Amino acid sequence: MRAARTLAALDEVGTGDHVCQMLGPADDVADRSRAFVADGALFGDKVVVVGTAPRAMGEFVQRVLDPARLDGSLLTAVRREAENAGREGFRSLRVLHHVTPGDRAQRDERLLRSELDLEEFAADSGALVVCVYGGAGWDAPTLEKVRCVHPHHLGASPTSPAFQVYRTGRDGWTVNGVVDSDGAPAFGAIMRTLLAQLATVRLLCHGLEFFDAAGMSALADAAQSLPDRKVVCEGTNETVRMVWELSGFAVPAVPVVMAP
Amino acid sequence: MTAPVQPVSADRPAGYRHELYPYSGREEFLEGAVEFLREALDGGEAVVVAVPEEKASLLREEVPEEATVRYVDTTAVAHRPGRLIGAWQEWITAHAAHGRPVRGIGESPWDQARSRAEIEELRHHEWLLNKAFATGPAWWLLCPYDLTGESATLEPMARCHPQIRTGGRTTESTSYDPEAPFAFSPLGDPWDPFDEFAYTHGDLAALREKIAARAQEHGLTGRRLRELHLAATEVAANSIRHGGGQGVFRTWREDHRLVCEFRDVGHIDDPLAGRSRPTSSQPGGRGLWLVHQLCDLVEIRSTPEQGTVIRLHTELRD
Repeated sequence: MRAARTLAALDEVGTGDHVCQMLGPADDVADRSRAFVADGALFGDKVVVVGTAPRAMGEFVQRVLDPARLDGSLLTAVRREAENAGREGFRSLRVLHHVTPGDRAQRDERLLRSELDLEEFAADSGALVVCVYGGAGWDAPTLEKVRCVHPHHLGASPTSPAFQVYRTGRDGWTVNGVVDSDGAPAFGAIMRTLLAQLATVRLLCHGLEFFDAAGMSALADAAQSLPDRKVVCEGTNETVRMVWELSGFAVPAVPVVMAP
Repeated sequence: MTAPVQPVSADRPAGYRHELYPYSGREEFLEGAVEFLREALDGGEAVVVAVPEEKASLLREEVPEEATVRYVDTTAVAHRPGRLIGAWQEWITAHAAHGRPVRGIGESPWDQARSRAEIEELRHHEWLLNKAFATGPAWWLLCPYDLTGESATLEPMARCHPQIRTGGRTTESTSYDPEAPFAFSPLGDPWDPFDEFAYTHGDLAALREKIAARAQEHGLTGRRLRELHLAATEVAANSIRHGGGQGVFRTWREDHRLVCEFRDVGHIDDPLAGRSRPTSSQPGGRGLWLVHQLCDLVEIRSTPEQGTVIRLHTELRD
């Protein structure tokens, strides 16, 4: 069973991890990543770098993917690499993804989609994916959303975000932590992104510590944003179910099921 | 309340009719309430009776429950004035089927009130009823009020009711001014010792930690702590969004209650904010509704000049 955790260093990673590494202005990308890449060789993993591979780690990198020149989506490319890794005799695949700010207008939606894809990929395939965010050009709300869809955290912002949404099992998404008015916009965006791909989102809420009216409104809005969509929240506590009903959301027009 | 009084027509007026029925003791209660009930039934009207159980038992012996007479359970709302308007809206909707005109009999358990603050909020509720139902469908509410009760004072109640029924006759209350604001008593000072915390954007988690620490000292945990956390977060988030971006939180124990106070510079201009159940399609406006539903008592004082003070009371069961 995957569980969220905060890492002190990249050598604590394990298979199936999806790590968000936030670099500070003084952090050196090559220095921070070298050991991770070298460990790949040590453990017999195939190492794929998405973005640019610093020269210092080149000897350990089997493949460099340029996101601008991919034939298809990043998810398709890493899935293909994972299949190849098995055939080529590697133990597993480890992906080092240097994420760069793109066109701001489309960035949030595309980035969330890409990160949720990678989260699903890591969980389902057992590949190890590290997403490195550094440099200028990022805004705080975007980074906050991105942090929320990684179960594992490392780097300049080593503490976990207020809540996390991550893949659990074959068809579930865990939400844990605190979804309040501060996090509601990010939670709504994540739910809309999931619902754009899935007719039914199974949300496992056993670790959801706090869920306020703003968070619930964000969920209700997301569930109604596309036709024929449904969210099934499992493991909700009695307070969440009561507040959902009191808030007026327990009606057929809001396709959300709140289950114990 | 001052004389003289103007008789009110027995014919059903348009709109909401809200009558105070001051009585002395059980016999007079029964006399007035039964007369009101029978008038309604003779006129083909439905009646919702929302009174303490001991009064309901007396009435049932005279007028049993039937399709047109419903005795509702007030246990969850009787001591929580902030929930009563929503409750009346639901009772009327549920029991006023078939297009009949509706009457209600509503009496709060004044003598069992747990604090002066509760009595004040019960009176405020009576005053708010006039605004809450001013524009809705016509109905007629009789509010029996026992003058022999220990805390009974007629004048403040007369200021909340447009009509008064005495001796089977309804007259206009000369103390009631529909344009006047509710005359709140000043809030008392916080009890010592109290904790204080200034909050702003990003401080909601820290605020909940402070509440948890104080609540746990008094054995408030589990579901009831989660409910207090939710209510407190809604109020503090309102300060941050609408009350100048910041506020000051204080908490203290007052008799058998934990009180959480929030102050900010914002102004709540709608006295009915949070009193009616929200619908799924409304974009916001759930915060104060939830606060009233989750707390044992809520005091709200808000003026453009002095800003807003909200106190949440949670009963401690030790």
